[in-house]
Amino acid sequence: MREVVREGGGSAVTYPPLTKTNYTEWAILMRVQLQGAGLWEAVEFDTAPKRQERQAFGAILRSVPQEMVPSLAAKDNAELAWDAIKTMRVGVDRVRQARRQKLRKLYDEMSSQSGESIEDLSLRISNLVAELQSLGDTTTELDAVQKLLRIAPSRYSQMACSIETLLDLSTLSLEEVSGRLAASEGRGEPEPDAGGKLLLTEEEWRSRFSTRDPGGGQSSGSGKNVEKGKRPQGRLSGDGSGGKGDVGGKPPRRNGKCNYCGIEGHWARECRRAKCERGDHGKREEQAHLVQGQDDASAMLLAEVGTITVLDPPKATQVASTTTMATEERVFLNEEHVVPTPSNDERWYMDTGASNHMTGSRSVFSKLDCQVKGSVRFGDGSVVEIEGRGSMLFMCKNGEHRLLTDVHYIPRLRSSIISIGQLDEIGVKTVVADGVMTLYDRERGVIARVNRLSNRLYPIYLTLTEPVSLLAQAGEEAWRWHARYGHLHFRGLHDLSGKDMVRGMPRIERLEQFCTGCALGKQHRASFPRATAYRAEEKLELTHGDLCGPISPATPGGNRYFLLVVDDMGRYMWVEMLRTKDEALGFFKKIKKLA
Amino acid sequence: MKVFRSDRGGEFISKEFTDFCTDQGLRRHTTAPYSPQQNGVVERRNQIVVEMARCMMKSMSVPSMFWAEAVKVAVHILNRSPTRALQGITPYEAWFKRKPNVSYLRTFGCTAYVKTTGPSVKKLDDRSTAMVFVGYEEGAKA
Repeated sequence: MREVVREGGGSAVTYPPLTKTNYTEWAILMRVQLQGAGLWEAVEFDTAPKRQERQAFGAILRSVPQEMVPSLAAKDNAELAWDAIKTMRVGVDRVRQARRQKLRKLYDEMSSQSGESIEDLSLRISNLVAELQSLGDTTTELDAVQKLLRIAPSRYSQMACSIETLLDLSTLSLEEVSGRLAASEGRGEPEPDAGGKLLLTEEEWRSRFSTRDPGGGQSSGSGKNVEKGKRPQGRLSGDGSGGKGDVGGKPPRRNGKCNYCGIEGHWARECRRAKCERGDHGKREEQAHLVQGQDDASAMLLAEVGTITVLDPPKATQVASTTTMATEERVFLNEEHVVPTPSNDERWYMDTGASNHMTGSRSVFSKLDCQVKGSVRFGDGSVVEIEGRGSMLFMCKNGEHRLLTDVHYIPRLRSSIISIGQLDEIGVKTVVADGVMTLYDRERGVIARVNRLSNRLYPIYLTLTEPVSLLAQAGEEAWRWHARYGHLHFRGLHDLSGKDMVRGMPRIERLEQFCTGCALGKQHRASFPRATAYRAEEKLELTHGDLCGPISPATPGGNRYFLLVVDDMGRYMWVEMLRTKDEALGFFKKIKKLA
Repeated sequence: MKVFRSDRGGEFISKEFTDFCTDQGLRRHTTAPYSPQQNGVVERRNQIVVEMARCMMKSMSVPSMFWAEAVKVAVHILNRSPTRALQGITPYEAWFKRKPNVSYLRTFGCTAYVKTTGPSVKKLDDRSTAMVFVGYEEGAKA
């Protein structure tokens, strides 16, 4: 009965085919299959019954490529055949050692790749370990587990730490560990406060600002000091739970007169004169945030100075940075000093300390690739996640559309930052002088002028626009007239309509967009290179020749042309006078002989 | 001569010329049609030569029929003049590997007195004749 079962099993089993590269896997599978069929002993020990040995031999022969069969069939038994394959495929010891070294190196240098899931990582490790083991390496499962915990992406570091401390690693399998890690991934992600990603707790905020506010002495965390007009301003909120109070939460402006100074438009408590006379302006506290890219090789650095005392410059345009507590929904900052910013404008801070453009507002993007992930570390150690990268389209003062590319989307960011370094990379020149930062484009001149605020920041207001299609757009009228006027430039159209130079033409606004027809019609050749890329290094390696003429009057000898030959190396020249062009050959020969 | 670069003028692409080049193992580079820019080296030189010739002729009021002489002188001078393509040496030096002697140079079109020589000179004959300088003879001690 056993015999029958074994027979059935043996014939039904399909053995894995051995190829040039898969020896390791093949050997493992083969061993398992042979063990399953009860034939493994025949391979391992030559004491097995002849019948088993033959079956095992047959199995091996069936799984190897055809061209190996004759040489293997010549072997006496299954064990020898098995060893022969091993020798052939794995190579002699020295080759094995070399391979082992190579794998060992790979194993040691292994690290998690961005975007790789924990399962893939653990698979990679286990494959490598299996291969190492097959080459006789002593790497154990425990090593593999420890390796996985070591190189797991930083977002798992807490979990890895827990596993290391709470569980006995020697009893854990690699699969189990990767499973545990993967489980933590599914769980914690959307919670903003999970893991070590918390930015600043309110405690920290509080302590930070109370210690930096020696003059006032009030705790800025308490509700009372709100009236004093002191507030910390920063781009980061205590948690990321939303843009609460950013624009919508502003109190209405006063309709009547100020009770203090009598000027219309503000309340007494926010009256600037009152504050001046109370003498609590000018107390400026500075705080620098450093941001550092964690996963990116390029560090993101960023420094922002936020004023704590609101000095109320003529157009005080402080962003309403609010800090909400996780437990009680209490607005932490005074919002009275916030002047509403134009709704369609986005304020961006020009920053030399930031490695990338960043924003927390999703709506600014005209294109956003959410696949891009990463994280940013700020100077205080807090980490925020990058949730995408995209580009945004904005309109310059002259109506021209410009695209700002490679902007990181970081939902927790309250302020938007333009990295001057990144601008420089795309050829935008930045000059800061006399309180004005000017951005130049290499070709088109000034892009923007940014005034310095009293808090020493340079905010730029970008007007977002929608991408325009040339065929269907708002300025259809303009385009029609552009075409009617034979593709006259828009400035001309604007002048024609604006200065009443013609009748029957609507007013045409200037558009600085791209007309395909114009571009094609005005296409011209790119300029030729000013200097040649190649210079001959030897005499006569390259010569240049040209025939010049006809020149009138002819010389007394009747010559009307001259042939000029220039040597490329030394620029030495020869000249010959010709009567007619067909003499060129003869004189060319003459020059050639001279040379 | 290894490579000869020219435009596609009839004189350069004629059969004889091509045959000659093949014969001499001379490779040809021709420019794209109607792109004199690609023949820049010689076209620019042409311009320089003609400009110099014109200057010399105008300044000395030489009749324009003598342009050939002027062109030859211009080339002669230019071979001994600095060029941006070479650092610190003249084309002459690049070619002959020695510094050119320029002590004999004369203004084109100036009056030159040619020494009357020969057996027929009588005691009271003029020792020289006034002429107009129009160029240097290559390969001769003038």
